[in-house]
Amino acid sequence: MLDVKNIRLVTLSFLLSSILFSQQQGNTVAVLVFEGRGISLSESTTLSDRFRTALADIGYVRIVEQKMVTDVLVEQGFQQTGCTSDECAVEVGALLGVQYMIAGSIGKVGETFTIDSRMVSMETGAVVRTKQVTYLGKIDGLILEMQILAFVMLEMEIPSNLINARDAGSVFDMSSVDLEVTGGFIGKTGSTVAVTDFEGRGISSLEAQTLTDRFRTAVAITGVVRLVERRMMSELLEEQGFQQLGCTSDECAIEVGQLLGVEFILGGAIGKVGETFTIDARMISVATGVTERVKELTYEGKVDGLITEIQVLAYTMVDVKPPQALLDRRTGGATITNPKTKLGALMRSAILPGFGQIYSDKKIWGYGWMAAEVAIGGLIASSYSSFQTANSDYNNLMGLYNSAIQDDDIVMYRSQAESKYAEMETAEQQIKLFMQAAAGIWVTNMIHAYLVGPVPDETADNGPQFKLAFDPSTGNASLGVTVALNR
Amino acid sequence: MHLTVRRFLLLFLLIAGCVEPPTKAYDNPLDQQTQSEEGIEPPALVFAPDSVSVTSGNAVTVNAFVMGADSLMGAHLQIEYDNSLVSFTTVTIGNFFSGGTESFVMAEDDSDNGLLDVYVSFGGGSSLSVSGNGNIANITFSTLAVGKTVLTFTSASELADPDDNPIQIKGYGEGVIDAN
Repeated sequence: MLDVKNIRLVTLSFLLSSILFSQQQGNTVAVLVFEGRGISLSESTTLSDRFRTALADIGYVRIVEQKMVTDVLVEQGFQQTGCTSDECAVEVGALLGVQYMIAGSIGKVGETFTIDSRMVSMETGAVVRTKQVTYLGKIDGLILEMQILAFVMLEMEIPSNLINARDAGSVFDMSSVDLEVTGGFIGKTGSTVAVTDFEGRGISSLEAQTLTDRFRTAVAITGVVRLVERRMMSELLEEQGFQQLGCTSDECAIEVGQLLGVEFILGGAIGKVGETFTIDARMISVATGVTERVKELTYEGKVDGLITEIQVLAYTMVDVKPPQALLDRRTGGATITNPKTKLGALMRSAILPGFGQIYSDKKIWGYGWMAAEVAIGGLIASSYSSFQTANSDYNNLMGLYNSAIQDDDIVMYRSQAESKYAEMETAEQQIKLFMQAAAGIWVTNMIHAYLVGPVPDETADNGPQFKLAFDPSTGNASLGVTVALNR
Repeated sequence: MHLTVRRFLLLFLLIAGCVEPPTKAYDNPLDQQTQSEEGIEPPALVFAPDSVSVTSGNAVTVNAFVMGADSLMGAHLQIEYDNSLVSFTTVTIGNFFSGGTESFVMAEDDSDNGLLDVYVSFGGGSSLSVSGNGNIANITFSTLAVGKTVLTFTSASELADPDDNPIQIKGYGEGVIDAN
């Protein structure tokens, strides 16, 4: 049975369709106000308006009036800027009777602005086009960038007058889904993945959110996973009483992942120490609760550079080689490393005593082991030198002994040769003893390196964990029990 | 990683292998201690070196020594050899007797039976005799075929003092000519 609200919406849709069909040929497109992070609502609204106007000016598509979009949003109980998810866009777009919806977000990290825009098809409900703009300059320059983005979104040639109007001091970059993608996901391609907001430590929450958005977009661009919408996650987290930023523990991530029915949860933290930024990203299997992958990124430079770095990290996390175009945008100073592990410490100490301890930040132990091995090495070298000297003397004396004729000479040379031979045997015994000691120290150092090696967070469970999970790939529920054996 | 560990292990074994002392070999034929271990007591007749190698067809010289002699003036060495492999060529006096102005050496070869008799005498020096260890004769053989010839002093060999009294020979060493 239709209620009054639905009747009004259907009527509104009918009216909109009539207006649109009376216009010139072309797809009808509606634009949602871009979500602003780090810029004010009025600024994001103004920039969205400029984008919409630019689209209309191009004339290639028919643009639905903002008033109508607002009316539908109000009818649906959304705020002007509350409809940011793909689902919402599809819902609103269906009511408006358009073919495509364009939505996006404008963020700010340091002095750099990011614009992430996407075009959603009403027919399939899928994102058919994604464009990203990274802009370094005054916020005023975004007005022009939004105009340019309108052309880019329609994949039309940008007029030269717009390009020439760009501020000479600004730096901008534009990318899209056209980037080459190679590689494969750790799970099967098409695994469902949700990205939780990265926890910001030393950077603002808005910057963390903006970077998370860029990470999320980059993961989606790889095309190897199916990404759960941020809004769906937000709603779920709110239902569960979490703030989006409050869900930072593995347990929470797994719980959210189970509720969402995804296979993997991606998340992490962005920190700042001095002038160095760190991004710790992890991917947790919801079914098993095991951290499947951890990557650490260390970056020195302006916070703005994190925009590119987090995109590179996104590719790395899903085992896809980052496009060269993306790598070329890096400003340098960043390294992605695997986290320190006990095994890593063990292997390093196997190569060089103490190296594993230094790797584990146990420098005193590390240098101690090194010193012990160097000392024993010195003793070996000293004994080896004694052996060589005695050997050389022995050979010389044997030459004299063999050529000697007189008894006295023979007895003397033989006696001296025997003495040198005894020295050789002593040195040999010492060398063998020291080498055994060196080997013992080496092995002990390896064991010690393993014992004092770094303990990754994901292994820091306090006891058995029982986890009920739903595996969407098999459609079966499973009960997982995790018991730490190293306690 | 495994390769690196293997390399270290290899280096370890290499160093351990390098410090092996050579095999002890006090085999000077004139070393009374060594000869005593072989059952040869002085005075004795020996070859030094006790083994020589030569290419077949070439000549080779072996040195006959007396070990632990006391007041030696003359010697008769009877040496048995394999006449199918070597033939006697020449003999010269050893430097033990070369200090005497009247020292001499002569040889009598019975090639049919492979027996060589060498007579050597010391004379004309500041003393009547010599003592200790010394080379008394250098004997040259020609090799006829590939093979090892064992040279042995027979019991007919004799040592004598200035009064022509025999000196008891307590040991006989052997020499080897290896023609290859």
